Amino acid sequence: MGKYIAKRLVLLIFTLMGVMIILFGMIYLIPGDPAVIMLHQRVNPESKALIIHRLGLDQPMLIRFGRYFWGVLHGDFGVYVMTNRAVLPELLRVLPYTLGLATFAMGISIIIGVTLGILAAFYKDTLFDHIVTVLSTAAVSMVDYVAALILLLIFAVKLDWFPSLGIGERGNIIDQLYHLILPASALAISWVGYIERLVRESLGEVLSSDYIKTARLFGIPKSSIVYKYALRNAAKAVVTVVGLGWGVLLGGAVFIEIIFNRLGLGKSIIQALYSREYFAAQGGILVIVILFVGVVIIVDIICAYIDPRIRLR
Amino acid sequence: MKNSKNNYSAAQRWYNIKRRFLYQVKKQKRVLINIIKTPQGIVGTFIIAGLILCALAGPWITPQDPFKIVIANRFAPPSFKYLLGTDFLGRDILSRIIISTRVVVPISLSVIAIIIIVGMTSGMVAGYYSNTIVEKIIIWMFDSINTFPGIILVLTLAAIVGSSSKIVLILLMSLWRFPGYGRIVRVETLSVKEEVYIKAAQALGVKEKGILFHHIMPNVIAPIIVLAGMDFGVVTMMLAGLSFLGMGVQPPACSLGRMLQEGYVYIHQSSWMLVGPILALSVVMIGCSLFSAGLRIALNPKESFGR
Repeated sequence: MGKYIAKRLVLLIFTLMGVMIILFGMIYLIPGDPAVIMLHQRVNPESKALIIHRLGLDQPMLIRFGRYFWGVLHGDFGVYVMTNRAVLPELLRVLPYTLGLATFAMGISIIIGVTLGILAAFYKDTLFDHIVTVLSTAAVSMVDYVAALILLLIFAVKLDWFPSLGIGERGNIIDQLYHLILPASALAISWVGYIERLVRESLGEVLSSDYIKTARLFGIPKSSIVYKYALRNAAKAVVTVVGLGWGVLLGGAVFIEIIFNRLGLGKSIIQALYSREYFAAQGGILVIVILFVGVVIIVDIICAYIDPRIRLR
Repeated sequence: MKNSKNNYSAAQRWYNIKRRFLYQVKKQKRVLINIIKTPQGIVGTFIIAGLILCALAGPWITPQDPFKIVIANRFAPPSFKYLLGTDFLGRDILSRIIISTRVVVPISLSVIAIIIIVGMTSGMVAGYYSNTIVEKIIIWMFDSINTFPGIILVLTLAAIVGSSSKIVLILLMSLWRFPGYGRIVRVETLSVKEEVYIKAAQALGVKEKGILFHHIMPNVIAPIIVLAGMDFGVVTMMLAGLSFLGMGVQPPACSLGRMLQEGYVYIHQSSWMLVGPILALSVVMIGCSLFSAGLRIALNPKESFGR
């Protein structure tokens, strides 16, 4: 197990290096002079010289990459060019809202999706199964921002049951949860469908395998087979999808955060892009990538724990 | 999983799952005829054909002039003159939706073409030369791109490079989508490579390029085609999403995302500005997933819907 984790960690370090090379290269894609673009209308020779010096744009490429790498290792994810504030504290301030949204959305999807999936696999080829299959197929093809606009239009504007904007009153948990319901549902819809299908497929596959048939022959009741033997084997696929899905939601919630005007990582990055703070956006993306990589390694460890075949490789 | 070697990383497992329960398909003859025989396939084909027809015949079939501003008619509800209502400048929404396909369809089709070519080539090379440095580098590339949150990657690059040119948009979308194809093709290639006819070709001294493109490619292309049918919808949605944030196709060209954004701004004045684009987007998305469901059945007649 220890050897497996070490191997994964080494690979992840290489992946992170690749990510940082891409992020660093992005600045070179800016057409024209980065300092002029970032200063926009406020450009004059003194401010330009100051910015160029401060951001180290006058240095050769390798030195700049070394500086960038060294800075990231020391927790320096870049600064806002206009205000010279560090990016990281700002991102850490909005991070809990994104984490809350992603966790809440994934929680809803797991509860509904896994329940429906188990029921559908259990009552295979009944009317219930067919209805759930059609509904989940429709749900999978739903895009989050379209779902968000539909929910916003119906439940916030027409019926006025839920608030349409914001994150709720500071410190008031009930109000914040109330503000979380619509955005989290919009994010959850497609994941409910996906998880339902996945659970149903993997459970169905496991349930038709030989060792389950043997257990049936021994006279063990079907429900206890599902919970004791089958779920554990179906869990590997579900853990992978749920874990990576949660990681995807961290950055993928950007449309939801903008439509419902919530604080969040994605929205901070987009706002940085709108105001041409490319170094700030770079830092924000790196934060999301590091979180995602962390999730990936946790998922890998859980899966290796569930299924020893993985770590024996 | 048959081959535990392809199971070691979460990202690869993610695509294995996708591949296992969506794309277990084989090459079949007369695919196009068989698609039309399934109910999903015929509805999907109909919708996609309608979309392409709109893109080809756009200016000639719009009921009103999509760019004509009639302030007196702003926020009009649906009527016989304006089937889906009018927007905040009194322009006909249905005409604007029809004309917007002219921009979206060519972009989506080129993206799909590029990702099939690049994804398949890189996946085949990685699979064929497994356990070499070439495979390691290609997988490292896939991993690095996949680690980015897809939407943010495209948004950031579009904001940095500027999305005024369509070619930039096409390249960005392809960069975002191709590693998934590469991974699926790689795993397919790993199993095809062990087949006897490949060994025979190698023994006969066929050149590697010939083996890759003549013997392996026809056998790994089927799952990719199904995935591409579905991704046509995904790419279209992403384009709309980019325009929603003001980073996609620039005005005066109209796009569904821009219309959604305007509808969002005027949500309290008129809900019809949102209903039209939402309907259009949903129809496209459902059409694409039905089409790829039909394609899947046509490529593997043993499967039935949703299984």
